[in-house]
Amino acid sequence: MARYIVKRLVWLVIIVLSVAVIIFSLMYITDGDPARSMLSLNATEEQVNALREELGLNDPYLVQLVRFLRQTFLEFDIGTSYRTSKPVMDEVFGRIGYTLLISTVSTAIATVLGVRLGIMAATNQYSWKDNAAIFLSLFCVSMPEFWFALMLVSIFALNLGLLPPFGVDSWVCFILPCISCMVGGMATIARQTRSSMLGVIRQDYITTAKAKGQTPDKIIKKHALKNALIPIITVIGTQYGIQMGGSVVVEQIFSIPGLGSYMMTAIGFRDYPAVRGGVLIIAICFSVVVLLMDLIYAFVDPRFKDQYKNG
Amino acid sequence: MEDNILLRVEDLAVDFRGDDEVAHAVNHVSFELRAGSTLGLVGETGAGKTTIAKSILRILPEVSARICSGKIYFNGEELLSLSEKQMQKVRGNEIAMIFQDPMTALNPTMTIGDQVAEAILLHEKLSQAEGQTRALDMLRMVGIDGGRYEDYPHQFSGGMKQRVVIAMALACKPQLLIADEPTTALDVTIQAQVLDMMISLKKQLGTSVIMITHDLGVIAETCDYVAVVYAGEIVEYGTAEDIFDRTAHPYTEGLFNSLPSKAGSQRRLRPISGMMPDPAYLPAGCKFADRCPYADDRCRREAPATRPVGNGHFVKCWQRGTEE
Amino acid sequence: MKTTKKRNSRFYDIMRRLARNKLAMVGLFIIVALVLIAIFADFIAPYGYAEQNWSDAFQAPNADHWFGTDHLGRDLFSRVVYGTRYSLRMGVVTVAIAASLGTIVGAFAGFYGGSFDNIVMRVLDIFQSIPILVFAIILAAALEPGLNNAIVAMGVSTMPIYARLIRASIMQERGSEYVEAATAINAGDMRILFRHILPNAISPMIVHVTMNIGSAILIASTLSFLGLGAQEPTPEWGAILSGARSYMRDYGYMLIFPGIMIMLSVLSFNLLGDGLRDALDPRLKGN
Repeated sequence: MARYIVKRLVWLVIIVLSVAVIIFSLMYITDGDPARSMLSLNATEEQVNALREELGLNDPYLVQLVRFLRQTFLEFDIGTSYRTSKPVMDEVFGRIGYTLLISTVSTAIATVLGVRLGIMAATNQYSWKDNAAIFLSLFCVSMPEFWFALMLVSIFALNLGLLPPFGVDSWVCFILPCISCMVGGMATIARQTRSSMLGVIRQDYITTAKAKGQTPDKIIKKHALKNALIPIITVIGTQYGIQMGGSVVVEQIFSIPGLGSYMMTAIGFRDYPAVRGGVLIIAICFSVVVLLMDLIYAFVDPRFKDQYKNG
Repeated sequence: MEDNILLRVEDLAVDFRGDDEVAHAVNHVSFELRAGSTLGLVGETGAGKTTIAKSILRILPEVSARICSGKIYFNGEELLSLSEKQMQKVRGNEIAMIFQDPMTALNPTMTIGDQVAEAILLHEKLSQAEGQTRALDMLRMVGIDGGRYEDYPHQFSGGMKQRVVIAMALACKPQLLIADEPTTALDVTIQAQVLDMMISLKKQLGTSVIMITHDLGVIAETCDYVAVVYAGEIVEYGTAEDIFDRTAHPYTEGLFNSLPSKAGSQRRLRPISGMMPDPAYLPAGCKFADRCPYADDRCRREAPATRPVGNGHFVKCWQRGTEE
Repeated sequence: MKTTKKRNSRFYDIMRRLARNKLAMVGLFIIVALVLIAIFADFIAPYGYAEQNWSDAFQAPNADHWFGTDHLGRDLFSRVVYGTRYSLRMGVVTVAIAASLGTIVGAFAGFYGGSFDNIVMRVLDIFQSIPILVFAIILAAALEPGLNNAIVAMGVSTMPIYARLIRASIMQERGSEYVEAATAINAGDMRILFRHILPNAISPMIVHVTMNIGSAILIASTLSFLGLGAQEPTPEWGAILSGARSYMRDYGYMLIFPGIMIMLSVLSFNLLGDGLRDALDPRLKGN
């Protein structure tokens, strides 16, 4: 097991390094000139050039890349924001809390509700409950998150005045953002739970449990759910990543100073170090979540534990 | 005599609803099982043997299967009229079942010990620890080392898994054990071991058994009574001697003829030609008529009644037996 | 001859099952309707999508302007009708790019296996460690905001889904008898891949393609909403919503219809996709 974890951690480092290279190269290839956009429009060519020199933008690609990687991974310095002239690291860590809070809370709620909804649908296949659950989840996966968020703001904040339309002043501010993030995830998890439960319910060992005299309720909880869980866990992990990506949208709409809104602003200003930093942190968080999910497999299904033991 | 009857199935019929057709899997089957005896249900795959067994325990798939008619008396109690709650007390406690494929019959995410203990704790008022001790005893009884209590199904071979399944089924000392092809999925060498163990456990616990199989060898080794099942009907019923020595139904004959003889006789195998009719489109007359060398017009036109050929030996065939 | 007949009857079976699925048919109906709206937008829309009429600005839905007008007095109904073109195009083209790229990558990885496969899969792992929306945003931003660049960005970032799918199918088909038979008669790699393996790997693809058109429309509208996709005055639904957002406090009606259209079109592809999945693999549905 320990060997497996070490192996996965090494792989995680490789992923993060590669993401760094990809992002750096992408930013490098694009035509935009950060030096020019940093200065006012009437800056002279010399001023721009001086700034380029100062930022190292005139160096060849490989030199810049190596410098970037060395700074990031050996000195743990993602660079200095062109826009604010502050270290990106500080800015990112100042903002990531909001993003993690919203993604974690909404994924957690989505999991609880989605799994329940999916089980309800699967155990009542072809009944009105099943149809209602299918329809509800289809609606929810088909709804654009940003539109749903706007509608929530429009109804609950602007028209009814029940909740604040934006800000981070108190916990009530997070209710609408979490609901908007949660709905799509809940529906996806419910759909996965339903189909994977339907698969498991038809298995022989469920009939065995029934033949033992086990009650339907316990059959679901003790026998079916645990066996249906692996694909559901996978979806939850993916969903967490999608939530982190979705933070870009939700943080914009609710004016939450998280990582997503930071990145959008950075993109607008061609603030490359900030964009790189944001994407890197998101990739790291997402990879850690995926790793955690893989480790959870071992606790859910003993066959995975044995597989991990063998390397 | 009546008092000795543990299980009586009367006029049982089961349909499966498909997308746009209805399969008649079991067609008005009646039989009895005496306490302490073993009844074999023999027939081809798809003849409806498993459906009969699952009907007794009422564990047919709810969405598609429907019991259209019939009564099942167990110890004088009619099982089909019991509530689901009452039925749960019967399952595993008074009637237990062993399934065909041990590879898929055990829950892969639960230790084998817990799976056996679960069966015990469901029906007996015991503490967790007592249940575990009993489960351990059961495992030892079927020849599994107690140290493997905490192991998971994937760590066992097919034969060992089937032992676990048997331990689970017998854990509450049921009066009736339904064994659905218990050895079919196992290696030939393991088959004999598992079968011998079942026979000795049956004797030890005094359990009555319904043995479902397509293997006449297994029937010969284990059964007192035999019902031959074809296309959802019992076409011949009698003692094991009746069936083996006084074979009456042409289908049963065909089953024997398609077996290689142990005595090493040089006769050629004569497999039954043709195939069992599609249960969604059963013929009007005798269901075996199309494959039967003796069939005449009446057989094709009119479904045969059950007719006696001897004391307690019945056959569903116009060509055999006598009018009542 | 015999095999084509068999294939036809299987195709017929699938179509029959699909036709009996009411929800899938509703989905198909909406899709057909959307396509017709897109084609005949010029005839359906009473106004041009960029036609400004300052005196009519900010009108709530009424007999003249069914969906109301926006801050420039443009008829929202006409804009939404024209928007069908952009959203459908973005959905379809994105998936076409993703599916063809993914098929090529996945097919080679799955077919050649070994260390080549290993490397390709690890590279896909790396790409997938960035959430799709973030990756699409970065690409779209790097390529200069615009409709076509957004399509390319989405196509590239969803490509790994198809690569994995095709690879998995091929891994499964590879061991099957007809491939061994084809190898035995010395058919070339390319021939085996394109004539024998791909046609059999295609059916799970169809389901994913259908559903992913829906999700592509969703991502496309998100990109446009963020200002990285379609630009003014293009009446892409996400872009309309992006514009409407500034006036939502007082003119909330502007938000309603473009959103409903996005939802309807995504829903219709999901309904059809669900139906196709059930029709292609009836085992998944019930017993």
